[in-house]
Amino acid sequence: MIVKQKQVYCRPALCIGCRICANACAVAHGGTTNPRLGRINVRVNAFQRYEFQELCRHCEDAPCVDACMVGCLEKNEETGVVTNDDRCVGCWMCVMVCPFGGMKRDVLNNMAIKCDQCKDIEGGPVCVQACPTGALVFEEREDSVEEPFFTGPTVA
Amino acid sequence: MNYVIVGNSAAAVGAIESIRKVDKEGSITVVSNEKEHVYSRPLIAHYLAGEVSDDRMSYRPGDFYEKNGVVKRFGVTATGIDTVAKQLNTDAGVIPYDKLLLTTGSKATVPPIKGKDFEGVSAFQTFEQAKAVKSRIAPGVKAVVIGAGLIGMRAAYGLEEAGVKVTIVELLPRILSRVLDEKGSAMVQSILEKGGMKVYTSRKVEEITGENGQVTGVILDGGEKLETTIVIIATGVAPDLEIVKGTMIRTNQGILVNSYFQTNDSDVFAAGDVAETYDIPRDKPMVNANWPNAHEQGRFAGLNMAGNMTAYPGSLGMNSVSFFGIPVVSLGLCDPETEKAEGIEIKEKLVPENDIYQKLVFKQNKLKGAIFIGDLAYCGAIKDLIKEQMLVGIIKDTILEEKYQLYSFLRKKRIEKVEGKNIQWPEHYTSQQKFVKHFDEKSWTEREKDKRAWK
Ligand SMILES: Cc1cc2nc3c(=O)[nH]c(=O)nc-3n(C[C@H](O)[C@H](O)[C@H](O)COP(=O)(O)OP(=O)(O)OC[C@H]3O[C@@H](n4cnc5c(N)ncnc54)[C@H](O)[C@@H]3O)c2cc1C
Ligand code: SF4
Ligand code: SF4
Repeated sequence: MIVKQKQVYCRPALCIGCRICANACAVAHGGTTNPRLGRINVRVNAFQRYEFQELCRHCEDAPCVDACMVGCLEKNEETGVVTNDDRCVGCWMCVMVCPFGGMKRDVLNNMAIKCDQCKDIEGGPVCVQACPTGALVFEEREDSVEEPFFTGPTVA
Repeated sequence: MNYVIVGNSAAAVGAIESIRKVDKEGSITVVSNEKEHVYSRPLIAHYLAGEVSDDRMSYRPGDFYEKNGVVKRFGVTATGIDTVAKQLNTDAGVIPYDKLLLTTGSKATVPPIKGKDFEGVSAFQTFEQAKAVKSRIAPGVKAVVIGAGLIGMRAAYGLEEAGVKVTIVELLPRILSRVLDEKGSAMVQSILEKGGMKVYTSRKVEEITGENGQVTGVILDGGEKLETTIVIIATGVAPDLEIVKGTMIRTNQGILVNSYFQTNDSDVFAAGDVAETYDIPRDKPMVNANWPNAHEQGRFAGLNMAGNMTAYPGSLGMNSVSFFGIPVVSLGLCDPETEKAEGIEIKEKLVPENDIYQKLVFKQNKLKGAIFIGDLAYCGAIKDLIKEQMLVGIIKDTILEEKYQLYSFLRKKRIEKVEGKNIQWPEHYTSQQKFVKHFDEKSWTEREKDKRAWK
């Protein structure tokens, strides 16, 4: 499912679980400082250690694009980035099918939110820019196999 | 290559897109009896509610057909197939094909209720019908929806949101009986009733009454009369098999296809609601009529038509709706009691005061289905486990409670996947621990020793 293209990855040993990435993302995309509205979420355990990164993997043949009945989810043919737009009606079909927890529910705006790799922002993904320890990297990896995992609801 | 597609909806779009990925030259013709640009069928309920306007109904941008070089034959009904001469008969002449794809979808089955031909009574399947219903909405108007399946409930909820007083009449003892189990139905019904909708179960509409051709009300069994100016009949849908009647193409409930979406004529393909495909959790052929399946199947069918043979792993019944802000998801075989499945084990979590209900159905250490109401946590991961039919016996008891173990399980699966192929960090990362060490089994058991609440 995962394609070989530039992705945001976490280097577990460096992550301190501060969630500044999620905050930066929420600010950049939603104008709020609610980390639960960040498109990225690093799941941390009780020791504040990295467990999982919840983030869209911009799948090839993305299940979410199949599922979206509005047609607002789209995989850009050139960049390979899957994006959502404001036609979304919040039916949560995409949340139901995404194996990576990449789709989150923004219940206030009744819209599904997801990573767009900050395609319109200079300097690339803000999460990578904001990460104080440099745990996040934006790169193309040889081995891009990632385990699926899932997220709780994004209750704002 | 000359591709002809009958129908113009989810499956057809999936096919067009994937044919064009493989074959940029061949001509594609789309034959549809609906005149509109491809629109989103499920969205007609949101249209009714006034959530989306006319111009936002289309499923693909306005230049979709031009960009993909598609010949449009809209407003044309296909009437039959001549599989020997390889041509499609339509009410506007014959269309020759090299590869034919049938995506005729499903059509509403309307029972012979007396008075169903009055104006204001309709099924709820097309944009046109939705427009007609919407034109009758005015302040103080009442509506009756017959049938509490998914389409009926969507229509009813759309009307409710538009400010119409809706009554739902269902023949069976519970609503959404095909996608939820008893507890789930009861919970959704209570959510609806809290929201002010009226739901009559185990009741039957005997007659629809009218005056001057216009509907005025319905009469229920027992003689009770409901006044109404809108009646929506949503008693069920069935694959639209009209086009293959009298041909050699084999059907059961739907058109029978192999895993390449070929019918028994290898140049005729079928996909979407009309096709009967292998259902993964139930392990038998079934018609799974939903949007994600239709698009995915169209995508696979298109690839196969263009000669890029790709086998389809199978379909999965899945659906997601929201009522009054509460999400409801049903996956696969979620009601084993009604389906009389054997050897089933069930895990569930029920918190009625918060409208939360989660249920997992296992059979022989594999997940077969699930219900999520109110809380969609892990629903995507569960869908994946069902679709891949992974062995999950080890986490049976903990998926719903201790999410942590689900994580470690999924992670272990991953280690197996990349086993023997340790992830090597690039040179400049060498100051860190090895990635693999982080997933070390021993450190995991140590961490599992003390219980932690997961947030
Ligand atoms: C109100 C409503 C709400 C729904 N909501 C959801 C939802 O939220 N989630 C979900 O997963 N699914 C939903 N569904 C189901 C979903 O719409 C279908 O699964 C999906 O549309 C199937 O797509 P399809 O391409 O197979 O066929 P269809 O969408 O049924 O399209 C078939 C097309 O073929 C045309 N056609 C048929 N016969 C002929 C012929 N002989 N000649 C020419 N053209 C012909 C028809 O006019 C139609 O346009 C909903 C359905 C309805 C009606
Ligand atoms: S949202 Fe999920 S399914 Fe969609 S592309 Fe991203 S990872 Fe894949
Ligand atoms: S929630 Fe939005 S993006 Fe997701 S499937 Fe529904 S309409 Fe598409």
